[in-house]
Amino acid sequence: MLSTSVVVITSFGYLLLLFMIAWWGDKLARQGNSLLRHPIVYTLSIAVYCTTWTFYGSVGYAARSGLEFLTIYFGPTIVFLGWWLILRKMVRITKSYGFASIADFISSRYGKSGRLAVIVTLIAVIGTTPYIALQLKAITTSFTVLTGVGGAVQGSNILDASESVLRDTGFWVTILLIAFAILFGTRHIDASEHHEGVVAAVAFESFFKLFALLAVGIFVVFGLYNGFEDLFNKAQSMPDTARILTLDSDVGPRWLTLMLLSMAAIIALPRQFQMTVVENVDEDHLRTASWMFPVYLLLTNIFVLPIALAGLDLLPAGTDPDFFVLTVPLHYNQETLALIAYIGGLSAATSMVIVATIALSTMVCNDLVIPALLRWNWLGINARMDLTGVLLTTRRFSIICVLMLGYLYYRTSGSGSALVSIGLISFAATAQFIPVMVGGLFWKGGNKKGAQVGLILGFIVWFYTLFAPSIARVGWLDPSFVFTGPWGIDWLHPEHLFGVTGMEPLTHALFWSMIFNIGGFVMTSVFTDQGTIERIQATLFVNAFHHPTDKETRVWRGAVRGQDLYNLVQRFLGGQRTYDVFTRYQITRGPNWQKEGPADADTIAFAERLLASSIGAASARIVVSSVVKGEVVPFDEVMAMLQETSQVIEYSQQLEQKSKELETLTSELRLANDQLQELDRLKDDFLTVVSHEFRTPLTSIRSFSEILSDHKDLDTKQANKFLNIIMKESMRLTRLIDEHLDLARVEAGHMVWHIKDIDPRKVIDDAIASIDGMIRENNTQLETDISQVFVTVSVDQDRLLQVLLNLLSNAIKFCDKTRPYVKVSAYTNKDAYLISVEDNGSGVPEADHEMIFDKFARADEDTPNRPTGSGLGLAISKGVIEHFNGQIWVETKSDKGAIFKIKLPLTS
Amino acid sequence: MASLDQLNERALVLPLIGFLLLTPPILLIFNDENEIWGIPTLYFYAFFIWIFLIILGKLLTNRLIKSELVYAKKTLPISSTSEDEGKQS
Repeated sequence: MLSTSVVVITSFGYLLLLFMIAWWGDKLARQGNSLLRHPIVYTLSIAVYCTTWTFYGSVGYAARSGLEFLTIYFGPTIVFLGWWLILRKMVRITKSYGFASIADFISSRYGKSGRLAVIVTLIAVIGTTPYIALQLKAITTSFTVLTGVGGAVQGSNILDASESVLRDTGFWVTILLIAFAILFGTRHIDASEHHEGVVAAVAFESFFKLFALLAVGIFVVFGLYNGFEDLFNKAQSMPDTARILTLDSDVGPRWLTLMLLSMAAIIALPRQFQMTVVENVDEDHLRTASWMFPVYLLLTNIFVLPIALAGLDLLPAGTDPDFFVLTVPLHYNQETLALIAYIGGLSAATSMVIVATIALSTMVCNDLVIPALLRWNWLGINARMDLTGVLLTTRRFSIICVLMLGYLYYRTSGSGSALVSIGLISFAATAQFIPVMVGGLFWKGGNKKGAQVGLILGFIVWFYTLFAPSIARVGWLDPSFVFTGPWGIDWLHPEHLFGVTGMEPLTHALFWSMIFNIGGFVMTSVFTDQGTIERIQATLFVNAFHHPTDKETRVWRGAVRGQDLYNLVQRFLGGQRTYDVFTRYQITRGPNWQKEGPADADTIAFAERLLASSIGAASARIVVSSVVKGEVVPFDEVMAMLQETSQVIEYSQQLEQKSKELETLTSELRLANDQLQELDRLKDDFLTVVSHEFRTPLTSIRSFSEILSDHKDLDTKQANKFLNIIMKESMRLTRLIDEHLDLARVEAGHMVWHIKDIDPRKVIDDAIASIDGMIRENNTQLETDISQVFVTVSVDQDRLLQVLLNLLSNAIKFCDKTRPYVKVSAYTNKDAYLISVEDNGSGVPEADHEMIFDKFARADEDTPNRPTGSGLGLAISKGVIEHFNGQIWVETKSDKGAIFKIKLPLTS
Repeated sequence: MASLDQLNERALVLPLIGFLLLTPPILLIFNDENEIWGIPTLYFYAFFIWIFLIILGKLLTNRLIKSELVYAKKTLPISSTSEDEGKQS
């Protein structure tokens, strides 16, 4: 036992230290020192999650149900592991719009609904009050345990209703905490401003409680036992402690319930929202906290089970396991350690109470009191009165109310339930926020009516199935209600609703409240319409990561002068601060707001946001709409504007596409035009050549005919010679015309073909035989190399002969005049028959390889030794061979001359 | 390096895996009276998985931040509004 005076002095000394830390933190922040803007401070401030419920309760919980207590820390671990998905979005949105509380957050999501903010506030206050009471109770009990005043070590039931309030430790602690919360929680009018002092104090407390718990744990494991192995061996050997080393096999549903509850709690508990989201100074800190906070939880829990085992093992039977953390060191006369543990518990309790009180009082002030004052126009919105004093007073009064409510609950409820069950009731109330919060972050369709219905139904079911039974057991309600249901109606039994049995009260309550909550939220949202602002807000929340954060949210229509807005804000924020923020605004946005005439939407939204940070989103909307003589632009108009913009965008995109299409079309046309011009040139060439070709024989025919006609006296021999020339020239003409006709037919596809499978060797032999005279005439040396393998090709024999004759005559014509040489070869190559005709003439320049197969390719006047012929032969040959699905081309020989090759597909 | 989309998926999967590993029935696989290094199996398992998840979470977080920075830099020259239109559809 420690003497009361030592404990009292230490307690007050510790609380004084907290005041100093908070004062120092505020001072640093005022000086712009960023020492406390550190991710570790942020992480420790989130650890306000670990209250006395953790500090004392976990050990008691472990002593009763083994490892089940871990669920309360697994849930937050998982939520922080998934910070990227939910917490990050919450922080981003809250920082963008300057929300001060969870009520702001939820009501803003659903169209800044004032009524929703009231519902959230009420649920938060009702759900949190027992939890605050629990902390007060833990402080007084631990005080009693430590000093031995007021009761035995065994029971925690030490409160005597007749005991004077003034002799109650809890009362004095409450008064001190009220002072703390007022001093450091209402320093700013602007509630979304950070409470650096409070954060610093809470971070210190989190550090201290972890330190205390680890100290006790190390003392137990290494002082009372020889390490973990020894401790667990002892525990295994006794049935009483071995029992809590394993879980019951039917733990499943309860385990799941607790995990879900703790996940909900870390997101939606008002104090967690305050610390994780509102007090976040840098989104980046969340990244560090995402792993560091789980580490904190892990460290907190490492010694919980060992302390519980030691308590069960070493302390006399019947000792309250909820205070093993104190009683084990006390039992071994470790008074300093016990005092440290007590201060650790005090840290856990006070930090929770302070943060919860600030969070709740902000909500009570902004969402209950101010809207009421506004509604009844007690604030005289249109008067020119400074309201900052009213605001501060309201907030301070709210703090006193919230804490006194907790104290009252603690005084009247007395003892009874273990720490854990009160905490869980509180968690279950908080869980009611989850569907509208998380649903609202990812589902645009959720609307205001749905959120209201869901919250109210969920809260009613929570109240009926969990809270009412708990207070009935304390004696506030007729206890029979818990056992038989109201008026004996079975299916209304609060712990077996609709006659469903087989679920524990907690699982049962969570199940039914969530069914009604989610069901009401979803069904109502689906079957009712969304208002204008609701739809805008829903989009802003769901697409929080897509929108540039500084984009203003509201489209106000109506006329208000910038100066009027300034005056309005000044009344709520005070002169200096208003001057500061508007100066900053002017620096970033320019001096437009000061202009005469109506302020732009941007400035109005800015003013609204400023007001929201001070009096909450819902109230701010009422205040702004009271001076902006007009209304929010209807949704249809917003949509129309958007549509217009998107249409313009679409048109410009279409235009761009059209112009691109036109460009390609133009280039295609230009290409076609070039081709046409080329063709035109070819046609001109063609005509030139044709007329030239035709004129030569015609001229000679005419002149010789004239000679014959004019000189009747020519001798017969001479006349015969002339007639011969005329005949030869006529034949040449005929041949020319025939070839033209052939080419025209081939090109037009009018040629008559007699395609048969034939042996190509025979055609080659025929061709060589036919040209024999010409070979002799030119003394040409002919070499043949023809494969003897029998194959067939599918061709028109006469046409192929024509092609070969053409190639052969060309070869003879163009080969070297002094040593004329022509070679014909033919062989099978894979599935094709190759015929080649080569000469030793001047060859064909590489550049002309394609061109010579065009009509009148020879038209090139520069060609030396202009040979005779129409120049159509190769063009015809190409047409013919291609008709046989073959190919014809020319190659240049390495030494001298050209090789013409024909490739014909073999008959399969 | 994984894309931001992939990492986003991992950020969703990691908590799911954690939830699965830390709840029955998987948890109850280790619910026996044996010991590992003198520590009861279940106690050992719970804290082992806890540490394991924290390490994975830290690794993933580092990569998410890096990847988002890269992504932000990449999209910087494009006006953010026109980009948004595309993403929301």
